[in-house]
Amino acid sequence: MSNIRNVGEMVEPNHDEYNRQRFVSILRKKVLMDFAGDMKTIYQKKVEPNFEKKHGRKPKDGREVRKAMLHEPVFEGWSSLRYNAQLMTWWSVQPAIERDLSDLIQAAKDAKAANPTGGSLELNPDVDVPREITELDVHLMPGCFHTEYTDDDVAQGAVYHYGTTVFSGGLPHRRITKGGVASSIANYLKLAHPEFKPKRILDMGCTAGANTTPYKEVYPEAEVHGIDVGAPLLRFGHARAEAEGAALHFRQANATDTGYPDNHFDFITSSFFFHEVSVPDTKKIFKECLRILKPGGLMLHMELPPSALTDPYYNFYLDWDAFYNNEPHYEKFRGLDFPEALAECGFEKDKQLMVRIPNFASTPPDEFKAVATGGDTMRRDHGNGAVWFTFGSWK
Amino acid sequence: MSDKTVNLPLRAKGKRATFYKDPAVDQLFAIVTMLTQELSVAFDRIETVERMLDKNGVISRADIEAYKPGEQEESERTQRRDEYIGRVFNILHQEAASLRDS
Repeated sequence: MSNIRNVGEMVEPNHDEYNRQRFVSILRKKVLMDFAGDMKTIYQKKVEPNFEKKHGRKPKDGREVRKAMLHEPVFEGWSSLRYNAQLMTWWSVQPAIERDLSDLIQAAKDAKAANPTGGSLELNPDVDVPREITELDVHLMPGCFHTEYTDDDVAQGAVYHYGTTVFSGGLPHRRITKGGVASSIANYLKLAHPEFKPKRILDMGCTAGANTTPYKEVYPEAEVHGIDVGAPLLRFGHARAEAEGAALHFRQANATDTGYPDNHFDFITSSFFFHEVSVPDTKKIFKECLRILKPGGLMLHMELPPSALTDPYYNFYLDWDAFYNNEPHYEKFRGLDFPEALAECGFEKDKQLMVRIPNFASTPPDEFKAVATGGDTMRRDHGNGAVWFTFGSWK
Repeated sequence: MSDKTVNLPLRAKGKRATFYKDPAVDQLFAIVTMLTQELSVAFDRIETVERMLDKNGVISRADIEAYKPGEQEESERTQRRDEYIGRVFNILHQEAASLRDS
């Protein structure tokens, strides 16, 4: 253990700030579970039957459901509440971070200077931050992933780290730990492909590294790398990893052009990344993955399920973020034909895979193992972290 | 520690979403939601004071700021907030409830 202060645990909200955060967590739970259930009831009992009467059929896609729902009072009220809760998530953590920022920056510098685990942080100010990030604050997070307000800034890393804790703090499946996606994928791979022992792992769009760390825990012998365009997130992620004893290698790079040599990684992954990326860039990234992946290596990304695999109401529900959460590529990404898009970028169809992985921390071990080794992985929905949709290919 | 050097922005870049025909309703919704949060926090502060008075008899502001609810108390507060939000925003639930009854 090191005696470096952990940037991930340092920020101390005062009494009222803490309780604002708790309020937002519970508000989000009410919105995403209780009121979302009410909205679905109204759709099923009123909106869909009315649509059928008028058109002689059910809505064929999420867009049609959206059109029918748009002026329903429940949709207006639910959306307003969800939208405000999203903004309030970030606002609830900002004041304490502002107050502690100098300390956080110092702790991050100390972590970099001491670097006890031998991880690394390589920043490159020449990296082009894509327009969809500089022009729109993704997730309505003011300042987005990249903005720097002062030298060696970690503020946005802290807002993201502490904010996401508030974000999922009321959801029963998500309470247990950060890095739920990666711990689920890593533990799944270990059970489903015990012969696969990746030596070099890359997490693309790693933000502050919450979903990078679990790979080092499950594959301690592996060299684990994370890339992102946002410098404050990388600084924060590296400092947190060093304080927690995880040797991770963070580098500022764009996934479309990583700069790594050919055939470099055994395993390439990402979580909740591609839906923030335009379709042309998504394809560039698939090609880049193919280039830097070793023959016999695996690429497996966690994402929202494609709209072809989910029903029209669920597509309407998921695609809310495309319209209101500053995630403009979300709906187009989900509309992709995943096998075709991967094949177009050079991944052979018979080597591709799509797997729904249960959330490791909230699934009983026997059930998790049965899913990992038994094969029936497509039966459950993506929903509040109960199960993660993944797709990719062997090379 | 009040060496605050940076003011983080409150506004998210991009067009602010509206859900109602009259954007004033959207603004009012934002205000009501924020007020609901502040009242919830005031409840929490009263609860903290009450619990500390029960336990210690005398308390200071610093004690209140430093107060951390235990797990059991936090889950009681969570339950209270959950029911409270349900009451304040009950209007969102009413139509579904009547459809379920019919």
